[in-house]
Amino acid sequence: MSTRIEDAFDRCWAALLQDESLESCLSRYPELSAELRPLLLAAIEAHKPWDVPVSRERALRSRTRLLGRASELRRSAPARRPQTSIPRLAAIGIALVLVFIFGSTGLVVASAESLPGESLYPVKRTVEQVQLSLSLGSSSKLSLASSFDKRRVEEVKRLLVLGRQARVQFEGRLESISGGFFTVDGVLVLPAPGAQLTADLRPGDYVSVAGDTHPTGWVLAASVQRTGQQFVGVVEAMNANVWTISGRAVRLAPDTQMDDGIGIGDQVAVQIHNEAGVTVVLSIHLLENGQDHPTPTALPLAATPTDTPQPQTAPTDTRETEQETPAPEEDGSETITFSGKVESKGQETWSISGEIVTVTSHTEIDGSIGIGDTVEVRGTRLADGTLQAQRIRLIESGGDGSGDDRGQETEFTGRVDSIASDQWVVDGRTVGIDSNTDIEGAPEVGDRAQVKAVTYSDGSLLALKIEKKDSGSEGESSSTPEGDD
Amino acid sequence: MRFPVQEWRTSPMNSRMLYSLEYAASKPCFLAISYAPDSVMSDESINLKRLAQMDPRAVAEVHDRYFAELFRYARYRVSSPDVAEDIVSDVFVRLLEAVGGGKTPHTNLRGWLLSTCSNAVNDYFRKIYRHDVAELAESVAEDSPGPVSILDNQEDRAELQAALAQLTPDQQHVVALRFGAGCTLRETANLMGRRVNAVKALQFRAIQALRRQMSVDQS
Repeated sequence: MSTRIEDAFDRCWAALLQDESLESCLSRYPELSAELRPLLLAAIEAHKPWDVPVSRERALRSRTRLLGRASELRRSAPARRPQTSIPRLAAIGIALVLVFIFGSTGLVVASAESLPGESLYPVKRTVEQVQLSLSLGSSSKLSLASSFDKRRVEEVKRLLVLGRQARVQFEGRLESISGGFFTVDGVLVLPAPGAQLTADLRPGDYVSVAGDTHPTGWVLAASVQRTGQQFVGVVEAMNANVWTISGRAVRLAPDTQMDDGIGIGDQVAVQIHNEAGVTVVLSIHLLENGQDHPTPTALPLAATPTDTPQPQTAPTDTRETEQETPAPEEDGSETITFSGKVESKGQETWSISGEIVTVTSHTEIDGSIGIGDTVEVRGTRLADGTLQAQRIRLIESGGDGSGDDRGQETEFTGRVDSIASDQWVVDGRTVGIDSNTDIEGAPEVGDRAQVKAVTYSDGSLLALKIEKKDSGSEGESSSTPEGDD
Repeated sequence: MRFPVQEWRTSPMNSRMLYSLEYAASKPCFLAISYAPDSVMSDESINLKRLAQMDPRAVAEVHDRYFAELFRYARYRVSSPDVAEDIVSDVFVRLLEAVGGGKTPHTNLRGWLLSTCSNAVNDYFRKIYRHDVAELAESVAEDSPGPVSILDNQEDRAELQAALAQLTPDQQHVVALRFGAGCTLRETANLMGRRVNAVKALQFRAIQALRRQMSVDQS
């Protein structure tokens, strides 16, 4: 009997959960109905209080508390690393002693391992700026800037390991978005409530993060913004390191992320970034068919510091600060004026000291302007970040006037005069070397080598391939002056 | 019997960060917490190795997956939402300590969490009875329910909790799972680590006892 009523009760309760009425259930067990009814009513009463709202604040508070506990457990698990931070006053004292003993070099060395929030950290950053300023050639400058970016990420990771709180800013690739966390170059980032986020961020984007390291092992971000600018265009040419997309020459970096299968004629979304005065491509995404944009079209992006011309501290950079205060317009655009060196000229866009400038039929162009010339640009920064030129005026002639050497390739053969890690001198000409340079035959100083290189708008050469021809025999140099300077 | 839907979301600043807490209308047992599709995971997909390393993301994932149902469970048995929150926090900390200490609940993480939550509630009541403090008259402030439902819920809850407190710990646990959360018999058996027939008998005795206590309270 007891088993039977237990079964009947269980079936009725299951039926109630499936929206069946109480009377309908009981009608199946008329002989047990009187006994079942009060029990089922009690079960219904027991169900009512289950539903309580769970507030977001309560959940977040609990999660923060738990992450804090997890952080404590994580730090207590391995042996504690020696504390590297030193009291601020002591650090200053030590720094002064170092300056006294070793001069500025000692201070520089002492600051090398400093982290954000420490007294010597500003010294470290200043040294980096000086290094950037002194670096020659866009390739080495770019490489240096990239290594500094990686250093920023490593600093953040060290702060997190140490469980230290500090204000940080770093850039990196957005690897994933999961559980409310962003992962940027291996660093967990939790956007704070009300944080400024670029809309539609997606893995693969290169982002700039500003926030505070949190002892629980992540960065509480006040902003996560996609860096640089983005435009849509059609791939017109694909050289080794320089592509032409809707008239724009864009330079690929070794870590440029791109979708597979991109070819001439494809429509792509390009994310570019001005780094150390050099415009580099961060990512190229192949767009699906059906999005027809015959001309470059800027995509809306949240404004970032890199979106607007910045005063350059590098002495090698000819670009000047705006001569006029940007005047915001009602539609969000602003008028700006700046001067810089012409790096490339396309049908619709020019590159001037790293700034991509859109040229239209209404743009006034004074005089014959060529690559390498210094010009003054007056234009309008549109709300989407595009800089549209109203007037380009020649200030100083500095180029060869050809005006059309947009990343062309050149070949020449000659004696290897010197070999360094980032540049060689061949036939008296300096060529930059990067990780993509193909070096064949292990040429040495004195050997004769053939160089295939790409010419950049500033006249510099980046070697695509260096091939040894003869050992130590100096022959006549020959050159294929395609875009030769 | 329909399960009401509760939903909250973060600010709409980023659609990928939207949380939603809702009853799984298609499943009778508990509520499900779903994030953006790329973070939905099952019990099996929880990376316990990363959890053992106290990886913040793994910790957050486990927390966010189970917080609401554990909170509802604790709240079902204790009248103060703040106490329920503390109990749930304690359960998660116990999980981290267990996993960190190599005592990983290998098979039934949810069952482990609910059992631990049940034990934590029992511990809480033992502490209250021992100290004989006035905490039994806890605050019943809700997390922003509607004005009408506040009174209804308070009365229902107070009556039920007074009756529940007279049951054995196992009976309280099975009532919370089977009648509170609406778990199926098999789910309840899995969560409690018991056989189905044993749970069927236990729930029947529990509901009989509960009904008796509620009648006593009403009289």
